[in-house]
Amino acid sequence: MYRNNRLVDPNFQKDERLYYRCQEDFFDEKGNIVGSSIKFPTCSVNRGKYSKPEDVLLPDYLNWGIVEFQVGNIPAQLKTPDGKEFDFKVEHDPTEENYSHSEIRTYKDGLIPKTNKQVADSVKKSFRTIVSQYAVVLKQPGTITILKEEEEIS
Amino acid sequence: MTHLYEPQSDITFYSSLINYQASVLNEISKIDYLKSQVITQFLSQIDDIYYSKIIEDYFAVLKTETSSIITETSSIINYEADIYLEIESLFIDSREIFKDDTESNFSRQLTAFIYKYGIMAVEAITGLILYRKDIAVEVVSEALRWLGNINHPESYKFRLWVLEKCLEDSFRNVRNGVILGLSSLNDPDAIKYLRDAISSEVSDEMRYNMQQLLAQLKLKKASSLQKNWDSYGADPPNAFALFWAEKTLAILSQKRFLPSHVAPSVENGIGISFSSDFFEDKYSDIEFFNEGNILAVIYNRQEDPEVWEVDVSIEGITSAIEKIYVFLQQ
Repeated sequence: MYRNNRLVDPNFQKDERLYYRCQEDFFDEKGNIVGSSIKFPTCSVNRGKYSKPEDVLLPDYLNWGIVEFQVGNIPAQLKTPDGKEFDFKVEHDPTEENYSHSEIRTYKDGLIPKTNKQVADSVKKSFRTIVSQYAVVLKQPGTITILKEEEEIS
Repeated sequence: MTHLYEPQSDITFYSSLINYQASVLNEISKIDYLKSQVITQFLSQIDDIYYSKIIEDYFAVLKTETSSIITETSSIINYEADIYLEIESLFIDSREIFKDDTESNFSRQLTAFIYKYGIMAVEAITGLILYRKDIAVEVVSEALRWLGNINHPESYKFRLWVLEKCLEDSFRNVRNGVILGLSSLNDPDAIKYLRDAISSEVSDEMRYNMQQLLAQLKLKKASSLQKNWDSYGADPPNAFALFWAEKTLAILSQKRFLPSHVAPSVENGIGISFSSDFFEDKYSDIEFFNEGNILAVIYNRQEDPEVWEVDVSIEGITSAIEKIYVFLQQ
């Protein structure tokens, strides 16, 4: 988990898994997460290449659930009805305590919008809907079982 | 399932309580008798008149105190028995036809008992509901409805417990009374019991009513969140979001259209989501933002999501619901 002077790794494969922690309220009665549970324009995740799913619960969220989605599930670009383009990228953003920490960031014309209001509502909503619908539940809140085996960690 | 608030289970059955207390009294009397025997024997062995007198006085005081406790306990038991009998006759003698949206003579008297006798009345009512004999199911249902409807903070947890417990009742009418009672209490603590009840409910109508109540309680739960509830700095939903989410649930109820979830939004507000029973890939939601706008989306994974701004009005929300309904069905 600790960075230990490791460098930023900017390369993400499309099938790399990203882990996101979720509390009970994020799950509907069928056990799927809903669009209102996805953060925007910056969404913090742990990358699967350098962490196990349960690391995303450290240190204080052990009772929460975990979902994963693959890098390829994140839309590369979304457009507003009038043609404005917004790009999305997963970027490795390690902290001292969490080397795997990454963020899904939004870009407009190559720059990160300074405020959330600079991104069209329809784009925000579309992005959050898509990501939530590709999320796969690994652990339901209040349980201790990881439902799917994780990839080998580098 | 273990409930958080568990009254003294067996003792809540009132006749058992009375028998139990009577047996306790009997034991106290026996002890008292034995004590007298010991004192007499003890005194006979003491030669010193001075010490003998002190000990005799001490035990005399002790004996008086014991008698006074016995008298006091007896009077409490008699008082509780009177309350029980009074409430029992209210339950047994009621011959009314109850209506969901109006008070009844029964409900008026029931609430009067609770205001007058407090927890003791609720204990008696609980005994009658849980171990009912010669009491009509409709009366039990009406009692449960009013247990949720009255404003009596001291007995709140007890009443909530009874209602949660009766979600498992085998009579549909009783469960209906529970749903109305829990709806009035509007306490998210009931969510976990309601989920269990929904999974085992055999009546479609009752399951539907329970799911509707579940949505209502989720909204209530969202309304009590604190700042940073999501660990990433989200605000709790504000009055705008809660107001329009509540209106939306009311419209959905009129249309008999159930949402799949009601949840706070990490983007500050409330989301009401929908899924299709027929198409696994179809998803929709309406999100009410603290900033004062409402957005809806429909999505099927084959195409980009369709997002639109919902007019902040009953008509706007009704129109969005209709669009979502059609999308999920086709």
